[in-house]
Amino acid sequence: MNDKVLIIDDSPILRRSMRRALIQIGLEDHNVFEAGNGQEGLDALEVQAVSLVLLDLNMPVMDGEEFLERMKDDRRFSSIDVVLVTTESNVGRLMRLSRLGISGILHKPFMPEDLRELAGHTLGKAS
Amino acid sequence: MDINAKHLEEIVSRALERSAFVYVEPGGETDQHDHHARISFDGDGSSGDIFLSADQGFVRELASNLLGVDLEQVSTTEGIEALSELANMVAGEVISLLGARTSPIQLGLPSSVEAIPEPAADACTAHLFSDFGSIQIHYQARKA
Repeated sequence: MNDKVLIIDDSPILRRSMRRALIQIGLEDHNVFEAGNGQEGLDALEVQAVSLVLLDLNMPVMDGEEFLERMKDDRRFSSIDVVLVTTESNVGRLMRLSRLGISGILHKPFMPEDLRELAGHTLGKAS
Repeated sequence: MDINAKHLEEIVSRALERSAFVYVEPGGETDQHDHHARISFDGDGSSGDIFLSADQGFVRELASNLLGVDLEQVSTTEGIEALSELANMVAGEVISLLGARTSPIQLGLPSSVEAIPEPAADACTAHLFSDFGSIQIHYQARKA
């Protein structure tokens, strides 16, 4: 699988855990990229084309909502699939984010197989 | 809704099982915990703090399962990161019970702390243990 995925989450251990799940569905280790907040995520998109972003919401510096707004406002990145990986449960906020354009939501705590299934499905649809 | 110790037990057990296949049972009360994490939340009518305390064995087990590596390969830093992330997941479930689905409650960022405060009279605490160690969860609502 040649897909490239960007994980944006402020928890280093969760990023590594998600990287592991992605490798288990066939992604190459060097095709998985990590960022610790939304700003680092935007910086990563400038230098690396990806087909999927796994996005946390509650992060320092720049949260996931601002990242999503800025990414969708940029024609270069607006078609990239985004899956929210979040503890967020507020229906109003999730609907607002859905309107910005997301491909799925994975609620924390999630089982690794849930991530594998959702990421695999989204990447399969994209390729 | 008032959060009680049973809620905390169920929320933490579920988070551990789902995210890391760590299975726990109620009990294992001790004050010999090496690592502590804190997360706060604020919203209309619901504000408070959640503290997690665990021993070295527990955080290493959690980190090792999250990463899919042997216990011996886990660093202390990874154990601390795992406890902070667990605090984040637990807090998300707690505020959902408190009504965050329909009424915005802002979750803070989890952080590692040196110690946790002495529980107030109206705080609630749950104690759980696993194969490798124990964890304490302490919920403290904040008055407006």
